[in-house]
Amino acid sequence: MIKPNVNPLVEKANDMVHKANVLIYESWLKTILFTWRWWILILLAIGSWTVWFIWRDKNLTHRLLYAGLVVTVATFYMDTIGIALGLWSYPIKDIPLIPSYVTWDFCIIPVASMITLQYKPNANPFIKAMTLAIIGGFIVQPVATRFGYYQIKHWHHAYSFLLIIIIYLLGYYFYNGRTWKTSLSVRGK
Amino acid sequence: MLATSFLDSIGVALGLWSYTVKSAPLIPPFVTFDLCQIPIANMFWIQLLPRLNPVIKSLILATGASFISQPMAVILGIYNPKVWHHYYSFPIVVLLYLIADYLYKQFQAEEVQND
Repeated sequence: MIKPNVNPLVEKANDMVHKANVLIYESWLKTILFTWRWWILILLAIGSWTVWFIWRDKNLTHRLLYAGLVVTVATFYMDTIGIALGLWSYPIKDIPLIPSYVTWDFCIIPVASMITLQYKPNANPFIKAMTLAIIGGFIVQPVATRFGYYQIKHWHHAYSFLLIIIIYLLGYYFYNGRTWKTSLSVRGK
Repeated sequence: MLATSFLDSIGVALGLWSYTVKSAPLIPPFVTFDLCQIPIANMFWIQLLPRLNPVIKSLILATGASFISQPMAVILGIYNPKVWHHYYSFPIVVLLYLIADYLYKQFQAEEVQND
């Protein structure tokens, strides 16, 4: 048996994370699970993928998924960093773990990005990115805050607006085979 | 890549294993492993030996990852398995590789079709 390297300070921090997760689990059982806010979160998660599954361009399924995955990784890491630095938080959790933003980062945001990529393929991508960012940053986020799904600590909706533009354009870049030109197959020839 | 990162978060959250040396001072970024080594190993393995059966490839990758790389990381003091066993990682690596391989092939088929 190999004796693992133990860094006492890192281990102490990891133990605190573990204790925080136990606390999240207990409060999730008592105050979140099966409440109407939790059900809406689950419905949004299933609903967003259902919409995509029905409406997606069948010939571009895997290209869209690829862009969606890029968006997911970017948002997932941004959310993880944001939570770790205490910039914002999600008071309602679909699963009782830190970090868990399943409904947002794995469902709503990638699906919204994929739908935006597919819709009007000849439109200027910057205008599409701006539109998505206005809806995401100045409509969805304030509404989510109002209904208790999102809590801003040291953050502004305007910062999210910029991040959405950057992440959407990153998705767009990969969607087109790592170029800034919309490829012919995406345009539908 | 995403799936491994997510599994790592869950694993650390459950207190099953931990990374003792961190590339970025945040919990939980496992940047070097989840965003670099694991996706790159998977990408190379998909690209290399394209005629070899993907199931065999996934088993070889999982053997290398769980029984060579992970114990090596423990010896080097980067990874602490706590109440985890290396062979628990084995089926996860197999599954993730097969998902990646499937998506890659579907993507390629779609590109050929659209050309």
